[in-house]
Amino acid sequence: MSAFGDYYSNQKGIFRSKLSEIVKSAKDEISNDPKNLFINWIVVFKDESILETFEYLEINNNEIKKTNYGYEYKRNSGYFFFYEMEKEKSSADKADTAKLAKGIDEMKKEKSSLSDKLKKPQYHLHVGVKKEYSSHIQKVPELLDHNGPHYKVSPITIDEIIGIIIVNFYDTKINLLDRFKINITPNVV
Amino acid sequence: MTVLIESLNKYKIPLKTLDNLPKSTQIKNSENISRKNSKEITSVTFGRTNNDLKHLEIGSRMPIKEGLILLSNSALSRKRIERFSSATSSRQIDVLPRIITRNDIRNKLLAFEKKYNKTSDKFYSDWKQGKAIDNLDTLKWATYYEMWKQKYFM
Repeated sequence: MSAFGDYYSNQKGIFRSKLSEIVKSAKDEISNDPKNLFINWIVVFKDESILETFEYLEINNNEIKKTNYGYEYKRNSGYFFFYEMEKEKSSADKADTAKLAKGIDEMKKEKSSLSDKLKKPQYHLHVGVKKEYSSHIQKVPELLDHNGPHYKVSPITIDEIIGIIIVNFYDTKINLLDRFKINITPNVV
Repeated sequence: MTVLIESLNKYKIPLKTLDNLPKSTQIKNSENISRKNSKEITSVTFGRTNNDLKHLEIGSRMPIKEGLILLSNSALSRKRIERFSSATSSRQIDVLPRIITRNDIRNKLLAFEKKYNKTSDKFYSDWKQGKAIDNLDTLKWATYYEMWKQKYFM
């Protein structure tokens, strides 16, 4: 059994079995080209809210490594949250950036790099209201679709996303949490 | 509830689509598929363990689960799979993963181009410069575009 096969089977277990009490349907698409592996799930819950996950993966020494991911949960009200991991810049991209920055004052360069990283961290979270439901929040553009801030977060897993959904929107099904691997140890700063 | 072995030939199922399937349905590797004149499949062996191997030859039928997995990986439409196999409903087919082909990637790129009224080349250039909207669609669009450029499934 390949690392990808194990990883995919685990997700299949989550959406088709462990969550059967609250999930109405779950469809998936996968790639099995070893150079381009991805898994995309669209999960519809019984209250019609929708979780879509997209993970692009690499296998190193038979271990799965996520290259980038997006986990978006949308509710009927238009509310959504979206956890994203952006792909790390390739060495070619980094070289381009370095080339562009050459000649610019070093301090300015460092400041700009810090503000860029804070503005759009590699791991970030969007919280807002979908454009099509936004008529009543036009005065709060920070909540409109994905236009608001990219809140910096730690890497997150599908199990943890499920945990967030259960405790916030299915609190009568808290017992389901026992079925997932959820790390609640705070990051040391 | 069975699928004819002959269907594997009729629909020219590529062997590489048989990798990375769930444990219970995985056909171990291409050595388990015998072919006549390196094209036509004459038999298939599959199973989870050596004690559990099933060997099927032309004329015999595969259990629905394994057969449908093979057919679903052949990029056939679900309707055609349903008609060809003896699956009683599309519900049986819906529980299978849909394995994305190169043609699917192309169609996804075209769908994004239509939705956002922008070519994929232009979008990707904007996205690389941080000028594109940041949402799940654009994450997928950029990833599919890179897969297309990297000759996915070629």
